[in-house]
Amino acid sequence: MISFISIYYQRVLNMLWEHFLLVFLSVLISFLLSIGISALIRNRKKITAAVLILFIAIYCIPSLALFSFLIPLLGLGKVTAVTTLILYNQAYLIRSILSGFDSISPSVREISHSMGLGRFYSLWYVEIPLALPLILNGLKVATVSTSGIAVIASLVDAGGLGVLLFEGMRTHNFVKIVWGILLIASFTLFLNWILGRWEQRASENAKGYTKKDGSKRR
Amino acid sequence: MQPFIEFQHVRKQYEKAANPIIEDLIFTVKKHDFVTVLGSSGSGKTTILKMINRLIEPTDGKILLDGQDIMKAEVNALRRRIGYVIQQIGLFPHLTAKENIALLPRCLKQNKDQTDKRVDELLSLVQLEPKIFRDRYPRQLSGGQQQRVGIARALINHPDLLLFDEPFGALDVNTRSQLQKEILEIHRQLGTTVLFVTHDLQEAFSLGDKVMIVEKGKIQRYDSPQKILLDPSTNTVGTFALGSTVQRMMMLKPLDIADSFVSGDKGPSLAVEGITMDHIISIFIQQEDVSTIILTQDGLPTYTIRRSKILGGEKP
Repeated sequence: MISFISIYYQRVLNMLWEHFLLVFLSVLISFLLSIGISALIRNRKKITAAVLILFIAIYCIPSLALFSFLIPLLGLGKVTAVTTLILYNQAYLIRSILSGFDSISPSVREISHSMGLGRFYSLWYVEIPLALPLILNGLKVATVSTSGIAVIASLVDAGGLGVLLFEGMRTHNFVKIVWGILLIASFTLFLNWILGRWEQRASENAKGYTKKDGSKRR
Repeated sequence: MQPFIEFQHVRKQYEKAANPIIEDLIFTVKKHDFVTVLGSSGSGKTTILKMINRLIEPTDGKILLDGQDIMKAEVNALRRRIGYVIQQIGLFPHLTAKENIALLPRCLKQNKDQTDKRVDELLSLVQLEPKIFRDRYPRQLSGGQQQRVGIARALINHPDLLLFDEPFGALDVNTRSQLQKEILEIHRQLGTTVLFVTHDLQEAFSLGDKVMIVEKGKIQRYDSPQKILLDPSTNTVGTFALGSTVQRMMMLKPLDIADSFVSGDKGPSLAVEGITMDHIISIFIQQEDVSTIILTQDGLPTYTIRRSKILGGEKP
């Protein structure tokens, strides 16, 4: 097992990097897109329901099927993979963003509007810090989900750690399979952990717990 | 002199409602006045308040602030002149007391040292020791303390108008009466024009220079508490409707009671100084339609006694 890594570490690092890029780019664009969509549909109940149903329906399509569907349009490779991942992430991200803002107490919202802060400052200093915990939770879950589906994306020439795994499966190479699983799992767990820490900090901040007063508590 | 606030034929109707919540409302408020707006739930009193800072916009009519049509003003510039305090307080949970109060100056890029000084001044004004409370978070404050911070926050930008929407409704009785006294003192010191919405009779009559009684979106009475209670046409009995009951109130000075007892038409004569519960009870018994007695001192209402509390049974 160890010898495998010492021989092929270059390749493995390459795949790790590819996987990271795939996840990072997909999540980044997904997040920006979901923010834009959320801002547009925010106060319209019916449109929100329609948009969410659309993206949930997309989420229900098995990843391989969606990849195959996009291949004739976008070809094989990373573009198809990233596009699919972006589509998958919208359902959860949009819902998390909207929930985040809905979680703000109505009296806090009323006051922030009535103070004359203006839209920008009201968002920046009041609404976003309070909505952040739920938004970051959505980001965390979307990232983990993306990392998982990205493994499948290797089948459509997107690269990443899935290449190692599926190669191992095809050639019945136990070592490759195990390394594939180990790397994918630890990578995803690491992302989950680090985004979880950020979410935790945002949650404490939103409730008025900081390191300053020393009473940092869940 | 030009009125400070002016409502001209203001109407508010919600699309799905059968009737307008406010119809053809006309009134003015003089600068530096403390006006209490009294009404039961659904009377439209909160709507009136929220139309001034444009949280609700009128369907019809004009509202003028200092001669200016508020719908023509830039909404945030308008709101920055107005301090707003609500029942649920609405402190920002992620900010300390000081940060809550100083948020507006911070967004306006005002000088930090000056703002810090002013925050401390305001904390002292609302009876919160700055050194202790400056860096406390809302979760570390009691309801009364939170509302005091809320009041300080409303005052930070030297507003020329303060709007209160049942600010003490969620607080316990003792804190409430304490804050009522303090609000009067703050008004005395600062002279800011105040509109104070409440459904509590005692609060309305003891705090207001003028009381505006609102029922079903219309103004029933708008006058000083004394004039409302002492209706010269019926001689010491003021009447108005609040919710589903007609309120008949009497305002008594110790001398009034003594006079009426001396003239013999109210029963046995009793001591001149002070009023005892016996007097109160006999008035309630003898005049069945009197629902409330307000005791005054130096012309100001000080204590409210409700029939239901004394005799029990029916609702006031």
